Parts: sequence; structure tokens; C-alpha cells
Amino acid sequence: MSEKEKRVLLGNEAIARGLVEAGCQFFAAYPGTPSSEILPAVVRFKEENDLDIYVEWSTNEKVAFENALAVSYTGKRAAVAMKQVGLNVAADPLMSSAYIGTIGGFVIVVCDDPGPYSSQTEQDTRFMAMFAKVPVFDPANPREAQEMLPTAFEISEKYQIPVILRPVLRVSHAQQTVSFHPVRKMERRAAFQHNPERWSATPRFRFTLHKQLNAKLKHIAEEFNSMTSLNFIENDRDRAVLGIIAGGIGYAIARDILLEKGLQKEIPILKIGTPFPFPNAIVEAFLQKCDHLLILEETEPVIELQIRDKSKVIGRLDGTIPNEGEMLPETIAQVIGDLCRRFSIPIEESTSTLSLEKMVAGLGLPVRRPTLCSGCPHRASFFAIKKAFPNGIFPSDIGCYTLGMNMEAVDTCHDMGAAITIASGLYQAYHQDGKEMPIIATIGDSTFYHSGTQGLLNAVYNGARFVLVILDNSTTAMTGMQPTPETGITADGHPGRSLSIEELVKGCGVRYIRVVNPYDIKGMISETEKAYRYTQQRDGGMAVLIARYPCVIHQKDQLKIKPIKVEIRHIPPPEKGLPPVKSGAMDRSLLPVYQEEACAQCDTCMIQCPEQAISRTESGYVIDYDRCTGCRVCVVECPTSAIEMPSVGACIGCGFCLKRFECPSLVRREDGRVEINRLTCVDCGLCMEVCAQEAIYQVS
Amino acid sequence: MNVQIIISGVGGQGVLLLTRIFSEMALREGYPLIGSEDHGMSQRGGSVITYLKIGEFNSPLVKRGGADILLSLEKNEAYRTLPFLKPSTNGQNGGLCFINAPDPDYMERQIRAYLKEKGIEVYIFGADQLAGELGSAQSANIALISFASAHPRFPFSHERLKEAIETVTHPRFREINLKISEKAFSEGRRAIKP
Repeated sequence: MSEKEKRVLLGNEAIARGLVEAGCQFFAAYPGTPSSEILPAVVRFKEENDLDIYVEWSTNEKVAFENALAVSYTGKRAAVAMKQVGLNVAADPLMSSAYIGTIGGFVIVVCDDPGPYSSQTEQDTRFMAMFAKVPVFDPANPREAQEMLPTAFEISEKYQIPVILRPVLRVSHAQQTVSFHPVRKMERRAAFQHNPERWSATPRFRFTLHKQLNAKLKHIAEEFNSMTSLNFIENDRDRAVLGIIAGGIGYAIARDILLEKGLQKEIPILKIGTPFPFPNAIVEAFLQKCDHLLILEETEPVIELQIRDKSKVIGRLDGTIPNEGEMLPETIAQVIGDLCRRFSIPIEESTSTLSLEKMVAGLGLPVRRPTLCSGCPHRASFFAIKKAFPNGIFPSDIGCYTLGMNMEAVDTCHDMGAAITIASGLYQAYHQDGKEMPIIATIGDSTFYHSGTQGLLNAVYNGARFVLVILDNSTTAMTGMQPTPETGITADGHPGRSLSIEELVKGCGVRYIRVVNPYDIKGMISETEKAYRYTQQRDGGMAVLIARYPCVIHQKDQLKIKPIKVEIRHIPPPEKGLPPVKSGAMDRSLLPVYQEEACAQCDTCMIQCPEQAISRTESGYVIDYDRCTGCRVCVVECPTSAIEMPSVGACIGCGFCLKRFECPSLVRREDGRVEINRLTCVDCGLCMEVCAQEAIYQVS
Repeated sequence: MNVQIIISGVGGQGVLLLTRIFSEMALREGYPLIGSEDHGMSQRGGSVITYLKIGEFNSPLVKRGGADILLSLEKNEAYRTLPFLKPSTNGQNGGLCFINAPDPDYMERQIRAYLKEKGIEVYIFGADQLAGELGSAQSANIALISFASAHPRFPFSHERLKEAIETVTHPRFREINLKISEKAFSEGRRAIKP
């Protein structure tokens, strides 16, 4: 390979390239958008260049962090990658590692997600770095991320301190032409030096370590002041009406706008590559030269808060830059334009696109909400759970299956592993009042390995009783099909061992464990009911169902499943002796009839009716036939069969499948009836089990 | 060269392949490139947008009113991404917009008039139909970019495009893609009046 080869790389691939160019010998990660592509790219460069780098998908971020940190203790260069909320999981070792420090260079790559596009929060990792007191690098684009990494390792090694590289989504997931620099073959051997005062420091030594840490940060800040590759002024001048201090993606956006408007000579930019420890000297000097200063940084005012004299400062603290959401170029262009006009800097007017945006908004285009894929086994699980317990509480977790909320089978999604702990908290809250609620928690297999067992141990130990359904699709689907410990496949193919979820659950003290196939919807419904009954028994306890069926997207390449092709009948079959029903105009004789004698007064029909057509009176329930569309939801949901209605055997456009099954391949036609989109249908056959009218049938 | 491009569509239409074709053409001509993608959480059928900036750029996003070229593989996604097109002040040489849709008159009248007033040229082309007729329904993306390459302000030559298609597309579809490209290019020649 020629050494100045140029390639278009994804930001995360450029980061991987930077890691191998910096001589990283150990790399661990836990997948999470937008960080997941770093590890596979490290594996690729390792193989392309025949490098001896140990690579692993760890079971969670804390585990990854501590493994890599230990490698750095031995003198080797190590790195770890995660998404921003992953660093919350690894916050404990991060805090401590700042004090104890490192030997070999140790870099923590943390990918932020302003927007947020696929995270719980928009948290800014630069604050985490400040909080932990470790240096942080903020790259403006993929090329810079790649080129910052060798420097980050050097700083880490020189001061024996962990260093964070914080790309945002628009760096991690940007593509850019980058040049390949030579890879560094680091051949350091592990050499752990015993030093209990440091490696197992007691609080007394921690005080000393804190003092040392503060001294390190002071030296690093001084060094950052003079590192012009990281912190520099563009178009420096003695005086400027307006200057910009920009970090990371804020710099990249500002520079493009100034170049486009021809303002680069007019408005100097101080680029901050290392927002902590703060290169105060260079900032102070720049501040002196400018009458006004615009601060552009993503996502929180980290630079802005560290500037002591705020009299000239314009940014997030005064509300000029929005305090939530991703920094968009049109917003920044608007802000710069407004400031130019305010400070009499000549700028050409630009045409607003607002009127066009309004016209497009006026079209009322359909919004495409994310849904589970066609044929997804989670859809079948959720359908069965909701069917078994229409009035249950459904704590869930982080993964594709959060989309079960579209099917009203997910009530909570908090953070990794919280399905189990929220469920046990809910159980205790109701139990305290002497009330038993059906609580059915769902968690994915990868999330369960990540942080499920602690909550489960706690639930068992403290006597919580609920049904936990582990949705085991044998992969980490949401982030791009990374292997889970169950597969025993490791990140770079080094020998690993397959772990069994059943044994893990058993080890947590659970006595009731059943493996079910969610594609058998009827079986899944009855197993869910049985599991709940167990939690209610005097000698019962926690019940765990493992709903095992591989991810349909994953299995496409891996497995061959027998397709079940179905069709939707739009005219009732002759043996029913029914007239052809029109959508929305059901014959009265076909509408549901309430029978008081069988009714248990449980309100299920009233709660479940999508049209709010059922109300309660003293003599039972009353159906408002002007509202009723004949969807049969009440008939299907009634636990005591107190509502009667014939099934039509043909689609009448009742919408039950669309609402409860929510398959993207089932689409409403213009006449209101449902048809199958053959382009996306994977022939899973599941909708056949779901249709309230029994209109879907298998064709050969 | 400084060109800003938006490619929009829905999952499964090959927006990302078009991105790779542009990357390949830029790389061959030695122009630097930066870009980014937006795609929702759903695996299929969700909106997909690619931002591509070829030339001296630092940030990956194209701002609204900043795109020289919009290629859209789906008519509703086209609507959504129209505001990215660069308006002109004199009614000439605004952004270029190429949309895959079966009905050349589908665009709402008021919007069409607005685009015309801003010097934005709109070409609606049945790329699905052409690709389907030539035997590869999934090559509508190739048809659309090839149609667009007939425009004198398209930044790369048709020859360059063909090389990129040869390099980037799967060998199994190479021959049919080149055939579709050729046909769509000549359709473009006919439809686009200099």
C-alpha cells in the first residue's frame, strides 16, 4: 500500500485509522450509535497491515474501559470506544483513572449524539471530561479526528493521564477524503510494575494523587496554549469588530460559512481543539483583539463557561445559539448574518427558504415513523404479550424493541438494563398497597448481557415478582449486528466461548425459566399467561421467558427459513353467506353484541376499543353503533367471551392489524382495506394469526 | 470545483450507492469530499438523505438554500428536500433538481412556480420505469444520475460516471447498469435543453 493513499472514509473509520497510526495495541468497545463502526474498521486495518492488535467487543462500556485501562498499566497503548451515554456506565472507572493515571497511552473515544438521533440525551462529553478532570480533544471532521489521535496518545503518555477524543455524530458519521499515514507497529511487551500506593491507592494517597492531577492539568493547559496544530487563530489581526471562537463541528460550520460569504478576512476564528484543560492564554489574547466574540461549539457552553470575562461573549448563555438540538449550518449562517448587520460588517443578503418550507409543510406529507422490520420476531412477542395482558404495565429497554411502543406494548424505556429494575420498582410500589399488577418487562439479549443481571439478582433477592421476557434474537441488531456473548464469536475471531442465557438467568436465582418461540403466537400467549400465574402462586417468584427467534435481517444471510406466503381476502368466502362488506359501512347485523350474563365487568373492552365506542352503565356496557367500525377488538380482547360478533372472513378495513401488529408491509389502500406490500414482505406469515376478521390466509 | 449535492429517497432505493458513485468520481478527479447521511432508525422504508460537498469544504452538512444539485429517488422525499436547493436572485442558474417520479406533472403548481422564479431547474424523470423496462427495477438510481449527467452544469462527464458505475456496482449488475445509464443519458440529452 502506498503511504499517501487517499480514501473516502467514514469518520469512525478515520478514527480507527488514527488508532492504528498511533500504535494502539489493545482496543475494546461496546456498540452504540454513533460509535459502532470504529471497531470493525480497527479489525480491517489490523488485517490489512498484519498488525498485532487485540480487539474485543466487551459486555459493556465499564468492562471495556477497565480492560483497556489495565493494558495501559502494563505500558502498552490502549483505547476504548463507546457512545456518550455509554460513558455514564463507565463513569466510575473514568473518575478514578484520572487520579491514578496511566502508563502506556490510554485514549477513550466517546461519540456524542447532538440532535439526539439515537440516544436518551444530548449530553456533552466535554463536560464529563471536565468533571473527571481529564483532557479532551474535539475534532472538527474525520481527517482531524484521525490526525489528533497520535497527539492524544502522546499527551496521555507524557502526563500519564487518560485522554478523551470526543467526535460528534457529524464527525463519526461524516465521510471525508483522508490521507493514509504509515501505521505504527508498536512492539511493547506487558510490564506491570508493582506500586500499591498508586494502583490500589487508599484515600490518604488519593489526596496526593488529586494534587498531582491538578499539577498535570496545569502543565497540559500550558502545552495546549502553544500547540498550534490544535489551538490556532485563522486570519489573525490586531483588531476585529467580531471574532469567533469555535470548537469541533462548530469550527467546520463557521469556516464554510465565512468562506462562502467571503468574510474570512473580516472575521478571525480562534479554533479550539482542546476545550479542557482550557488554553486560557491564547483565548485571553484573542479576546483582547475583538470587540465582540461569537462562541460556536457543540452541544453545551463548555468553552463559553470557561471564558472568565463574558462582557464580549455571544453564544448559548445569552440564547443567541439554541440550547438544544444539533447545530445546523442554516442557523449559524443566520446568526453570523445578523451579527454582521448589527456590527455594520458588509454582507450579501441571502434568500430565505422559509416560504418554500412553508409550502412543503402545507402539503401534509406522510411522516415515516420508525417501525420494527417486516417479519421481526419482536413484533410477534409484543403482540402476544399485549394479547395476554391488555391492561399490564410494560417496562422495556434500549434496542430495536423500544419500537414495541407503537404496539402499546412498551411503557418505559430509560437506560440500559432498566427494564428489569423499573419493573421491580413498580412491583414493590403496587405490592406495598396490596395490589398485584401484571408487569411484563421486555429486554433484548445484548442489553441483558450488558446490564441485566444486576437488576435481576436484586429482583430475586428482594422478592419482586413479575414476568421478564428476554427477547433473544441472537444478535445486537440495533447497532449493526454485532455478536453477543451467546454466539461465542469474538470481534476479530480470537477464540471465545458461548454463554447461555438460561444458565445466566438460573445463576441469578430464577426458578421459572421457559424458552418460547415467538413465531408460535398462540404458544407465546399461553406461556406469558402461565408465567404470570407462577408469579402469583404462594410458592412462586420471578418468571423469565426467553423468546428466542433470530433477527430477520440477520438471518437473511445466516439462516434459511421456510417462507409462508399469505394473501388478504377482500370479499367474504361464500360459505359464510355474508354480503360483500364495504369498509366503514358495516351492516348492523354484523356489529358486536354485548351479553351481560357472561360479562365480568373488567372494563377491558372499554379500554381497548380504538373508537371509544364502548361506555359503562349500571347494567353493563353499551356499544355506540354510530362509532363502532366492527373491528372486533372488543370481541378478541374480552376475557370472558361476553361480546359476540361473527368474523367476516374478509378485510373490512377495521385497522386492528395496523394498530396492534404495525407491520410495515401491511398498508391501507385508498378504499380503507389493507393490502400486502410485496416489495417489503418477508413471508413470515405472522399476520395470519393476528387478523381479527380471519381475512388473511396462506397461499401455496 | 465547489459543488454541494443532496441525494434523497427512502431506504432500499440505493441512495447510498449514488453517494459512493459521487465519491468515486471525486476521488478519480482528485477533488476532496466531505458529506454525511441521515437515516432513521428503521431498516427499510424510512427517509434517507445524503449531504455531499465536493471541493474545499470543512463541514459535512449542506445548508438549506445551499445545494447546487438535488437528486431525489422518491417524490415525497423530493418535496421534503427541495428547500436545500440554492435559489438565485436573478432567476437564472439556481440549483438543479432531478426527481424520479412516474408523472412529470406531479409537482404542486405553486411550488413549481416558486422554483422557476428562483431559477431552480426541475426535471422529473421516470427512472423506475426506464430501469424496469430495461430489466433491472432496482437500478432506478443509476438511471436518475445518468439522466442528470446530461445537464451541462452536472459536475462530471458521462464518461467519468460510467467509470464510476463500473467500479462501484456489483459485477452481476454491471452490464445492465451501463445499458440503463446509456439510455437514461440519451433521454437526458433529449429532455434537457441547454
